[in-house]
Order: sequence, then C-alpha cells, then structure tokens
Amino acid sequence: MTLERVRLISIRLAIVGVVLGAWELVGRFWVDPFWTSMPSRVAGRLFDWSQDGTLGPAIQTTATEILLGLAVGISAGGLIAIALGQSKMLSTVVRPYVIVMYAIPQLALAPLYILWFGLFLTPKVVLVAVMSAFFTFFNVYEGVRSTEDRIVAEMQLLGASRLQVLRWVVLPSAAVFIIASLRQTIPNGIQAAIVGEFIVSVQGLGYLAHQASVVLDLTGIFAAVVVVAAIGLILDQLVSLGERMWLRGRADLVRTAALPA
Amino acid sequence: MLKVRLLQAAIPVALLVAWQTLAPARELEVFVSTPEDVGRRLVELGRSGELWTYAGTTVRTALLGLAIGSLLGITVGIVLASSQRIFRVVNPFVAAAYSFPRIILFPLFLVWFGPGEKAGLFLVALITFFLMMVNTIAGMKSIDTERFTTVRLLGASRLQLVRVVMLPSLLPFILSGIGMTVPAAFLGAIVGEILGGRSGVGYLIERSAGQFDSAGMMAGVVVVGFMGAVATLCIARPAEKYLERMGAR
Repeated sequence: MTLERVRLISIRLAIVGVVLGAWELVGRFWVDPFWTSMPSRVAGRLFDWSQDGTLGPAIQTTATEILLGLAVGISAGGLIAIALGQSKMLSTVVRPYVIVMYAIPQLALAPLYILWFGLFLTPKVVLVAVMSAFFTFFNVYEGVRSTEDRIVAEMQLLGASRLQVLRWVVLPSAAVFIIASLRQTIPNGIQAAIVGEFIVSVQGLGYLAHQASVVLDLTGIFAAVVVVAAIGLILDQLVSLGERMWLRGRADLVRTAALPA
Repeated sequence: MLKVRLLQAAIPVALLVAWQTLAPARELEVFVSTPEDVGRRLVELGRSGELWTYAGTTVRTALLGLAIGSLLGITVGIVLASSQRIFRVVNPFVAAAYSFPRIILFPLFLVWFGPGEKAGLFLVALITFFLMMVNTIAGMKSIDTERFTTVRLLGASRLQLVRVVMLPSLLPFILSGIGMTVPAAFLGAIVGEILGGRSGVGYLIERSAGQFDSAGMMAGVVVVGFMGAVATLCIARPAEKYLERMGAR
C-alpha cells in the first residue's frame, strides 16, 4: 500500500468518524434524540436485538424473500428474453407492450400481490421476482438483440443448427448480460422485499423498521436500516467479485444497464 | 408489417376478453375484478372528482420531488466531480450510496413529517437526487481534459469554458438522467402513498386492496399505468430523442 493510498483511506475514515461523531453530539447536546437517535443507541439496539433473538429470524426472513425472489425472477426474466429473441416476429409484436409494462412502477402492484397471495412469504417473493424478472428481461433482451446478428449469421453460414447457435452464442451472451444487470437487479430486489414487508408482514427487517416507525422509535428504524444496508453491501461485493471473474474485458457492460430507483 | 400491427392489436383484446370471461367463471372476481367493473369504477371516480384529486396529488409529489432532487443532485454532482482531490476521497461513498436500497429510509420520513404528502416528497427527492448525482458525476468525468486545457490556453473565460466545454459533455448525461429519474419519481411518489399517504393514486390502490375492493384497486393500477406511459412519452422519450439527435450530429 502506498503512502498516497494510506492517506486517502484515513481521510475517508475521518469523514465517517466526523459524521458519526457529529450525529452523536447533536443527539446528546442539541436535539432531543427522540428525533435523531444516536449512533451509540443504534449500536446498543443492534446488540440487544442480537441477544434477544430478534435479529437472526428477521435477517433470515428478509434474506429468504430476497434470494428466492431473485432466483425465480432472474431465471424467468432471462428465459423469456431468450425465448422472445428466438423469433424476430414475436419480439417485434410484443415490444411496445414490454415498454408500456416497464413504464408501470412495479412496486405500485405490491398491494395486489398481498391481496392475492396472503400476508406471509409468498407475496414478497412474488414482488421481488417480478421486479428482478423485469430488470433481467430488459437487459438480456436489449443485450442479445444488439450483439448477436452478425455472429449468428456467420454461424448459420457455417452450417450450425438452431440448437448449436443457442448453446454457443445466445446462452453465453445472455449470461454476460445477466451478470452485468445484477448490480441493478439486486438493490431493486432488496427494495421490493422491504416495501412488501412495510405494507404487511409479521417478521423481517422491513417489519422491524415499520414497527419502529409506528411507535416513533428512531433508534429501531436506524438499526434496521443499518442491517439492510449491510446486506446490500455484501451482495454488491459478491457481484463485484462475479464481474471481475466473468466480465473481464467487458467493462463497457458494467454499470450501463438500467439504474435502481 | 400489417401482420405485426394486427397481432399487436389482438394482444390487449385477447387479454381483456379472457379477463372478462374467465374471472367470473372461475370465481376470481374478488381478486381481479372484471374489465367492466373496473371501467365503471373509473367513470365513478372521475365523476365524483376523487380521481383528479388523487392523480393531482401523485403528479404534484412526483414532479416537485423530481425538481428538488434533480437540482440538488446536479449541483452536488458538479461540486464533487469538479476537483480530482475531492472526487478520489468521496468516490467509494458515492458507489455505496448507489447500491443502497433507498426506500428503506421511508419510515424515517414518516416519523419526521407524519403521514402525508411531505414524507412522499422527501422520498422522491432522495431517490432522484442520487440518480441525478451519479449521472452528473459520470458526465463531469466524460469532459475531455485536453480539450478543456486547449480552450483555456486559447484564452477562454470561465463562462466560455462552461458553455463550450462543460455543458456539451454534461448535457447528454443529464438528459439520460432525466430518462431514468422520471419513472423513479413516480415510483417514489406512489410507494410513499401506499406506505403512508392520505391521498394519491398509491393511496387509492392500498385502501382498495385493504378493503378487498378489487375494482378500485385495479382502477388505481390502470391510472398508474396511464401516468407512467404519459410521463415516459412526454418527458423521458423527448429527452432520449434529443440525445439521439445530438449523438447523430
């Protein structure tokens, strides 16, 4: 590590320290901590939660919703995009509807899923799945459409069968676009699970934050936010790792896909 | 081409017919209503004036929040990216903020501002702020430093530098930012209304769903879809079109 880098990191740590310190001081001396809470209280709450068995099940519930939803949604979105991409006719026909569907904010449908699928795990998984299916679909659909034509034509000239084209061109390039879109899909999936829990739930991190807001407990809200942010950062780091492993030399694809709200 | 248009027209017709006939036959009306009931409800809501009040609230929250968030985002983005030193320090914070699921902060706004439009407005401003900031920073980074130095050496004033070098690089990114922030603003407004609204289309959807009033719920969804389509056509698309024209030039 060079001296320059050490300096940079210490400045960053200092910024974090100053912000947290200022927050603590504001709560202690200036504003009633009822309105702002304090880092020390948030840390204390997280410790309490980990001791009294609140935190573990909450993380488990929310993580299950997110991971199940992402798995279902990403595979569904990718498959539909590949299927539509197989027929030029079909993809031209449905294109305007896809754009219209995209214009509808998917989270607005959360109350519907709760009415249809009940109060527990299913509606949140559906919400996360629909959300991530959309992001994956859009990226794969646009991606596959924009890159493939020439290669496919050449392969067909060389006598490749439909299946061979699928196996050697379509699937690998779809996989690349799925990985490139994860950076947007995952935060949106987390967001969907949390919104679902805000509306109705009996467990989970969104539930904890919502319950805390009902009783005007800022400390509880911040504690839940910290855990959700940590989950987001962990998943983001995993995606970075995946990008470094599988998208080397395709930096153009990273961070070009649709952004999270 | 005619065949494509015909098929395109057939899709919504087929869906509507299926919805109208299958929903009662399978006793699913409680959950999905029927197109007829939804249409009737929309007319009722329109006559009583509720529809316009709700739609007005949502549009006002989305556009006002968008304006506040975008202006702040562009300003902060320019400041952060204008100095290489500042940018190197804050870069990881920006990246972390980018992947942070922002809606989780909404309960905070609920406590601070109480249920209602203000909390929603803050959510929209927060969401659009980050999107616009990230885009502005990307735009600032795209400025050609050689061109910048050359123009300055030619004796350009500060204002001329901004006009000739900075704006042309920045504008495409801000325009594509608008393309992203408009749908995000409506999303934020509607989610805010679902979670803690007293009015607005999101409130209509949530209230109806809570009362098992599927016609009202679906009517709300139709309005949301309509607003999303109009917003995309009127704001996001023109911005993208302009972008394409500039690119072609």
